[in-house]
Amino acid sequence: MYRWLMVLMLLLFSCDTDSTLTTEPEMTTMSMEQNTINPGDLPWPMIVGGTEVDPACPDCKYPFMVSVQWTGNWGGHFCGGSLVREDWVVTAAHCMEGESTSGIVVKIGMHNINGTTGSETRYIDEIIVHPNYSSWSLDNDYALIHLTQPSSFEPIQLVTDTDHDEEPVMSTVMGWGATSSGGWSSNVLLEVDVPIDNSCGSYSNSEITNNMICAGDGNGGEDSCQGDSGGPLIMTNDEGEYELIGIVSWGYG
Amino acid sequence: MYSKVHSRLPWFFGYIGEPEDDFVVELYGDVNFDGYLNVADIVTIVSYVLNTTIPTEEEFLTADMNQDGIVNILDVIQVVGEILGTTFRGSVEWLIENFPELEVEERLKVLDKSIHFAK
Repeated sequence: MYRWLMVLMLLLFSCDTDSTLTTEPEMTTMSMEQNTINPGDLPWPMIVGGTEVDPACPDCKYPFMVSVQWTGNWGGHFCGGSLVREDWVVTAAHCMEGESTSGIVVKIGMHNINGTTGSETRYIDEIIVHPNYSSWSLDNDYALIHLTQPSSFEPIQLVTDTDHDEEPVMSTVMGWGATSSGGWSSNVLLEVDVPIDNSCGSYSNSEITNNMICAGDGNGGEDSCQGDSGGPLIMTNDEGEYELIGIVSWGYG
Repeated sequence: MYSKVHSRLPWFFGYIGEPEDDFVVELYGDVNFDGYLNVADIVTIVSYVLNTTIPTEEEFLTADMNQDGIVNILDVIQVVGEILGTTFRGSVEWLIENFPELEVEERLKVLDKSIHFAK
């Protein structure tokens, strides 16, 4: 039983506690009991075991990367997103629960989450949550955000080749989220490579819908985590261009 | 876990619009897209060079025979050579005779100078 629980801990999307590449001084570890969480109660996913994105903005290795932030005194980053058109951002539907257009802004061209150099702040006038989004199962965890003004940063293209859904390819995920489960978020944009795994490891079939894709390091240590939700899962196509293949949604840990 | 983008492309595109396909030239010089190179294509490319017709992006890319990002007299000469099987000089002479308004030799001189200054 112990071995089984360990496998659950290490496979796929667990916000693992590998601290070798993290940048924050303190981290907390998750308990085994967290594996009994129901899908509807899932914690936010984070970048674990990642490296700092280089080149950073304003030279922007990932110009499409978006920080979705609350406005006001309690403002700040709470989810990632991807610029998919000059005036459209795609993020996770669960990031938009309870949010209004006046309560959030998006920032594009950011590296240090506390910096502003070279970045764009855009207000929004429309939030569109997928009509079949389920807050319990997180099925159809998609939302679109419309910007009041277009961004000058280059959007990412959406994947159109079904092969990418099936190949056991390496993908990349990025964000400013926590660097360990329950730990501190990152001030700078981090990225990590994660292999796509069609078997979805030890996750049960009842949890994984046809609209979900699994990616993560079976050996643990590299993953997305809290605060990375809504951010992009990307791969590079044959022309060397980035394509958006997934949106950070949920995982145990 | 990630929300798979591919499975919901129609939903995305319903709001953000379909992506624009990159245009791929099938036959350079075939600016009327009839599948053949003929005199009609020469006439059209000459009109681009004379600025009497403004090409669309697809027509421009197709007219750019030497793929240097510019449509100029060199592209006209090249398409004439392809159609008539003439040498560079033979194409120039054919153009002088049939398109005197193009002032082929003058354009080539300007081109030579620009190359000289570029050095």
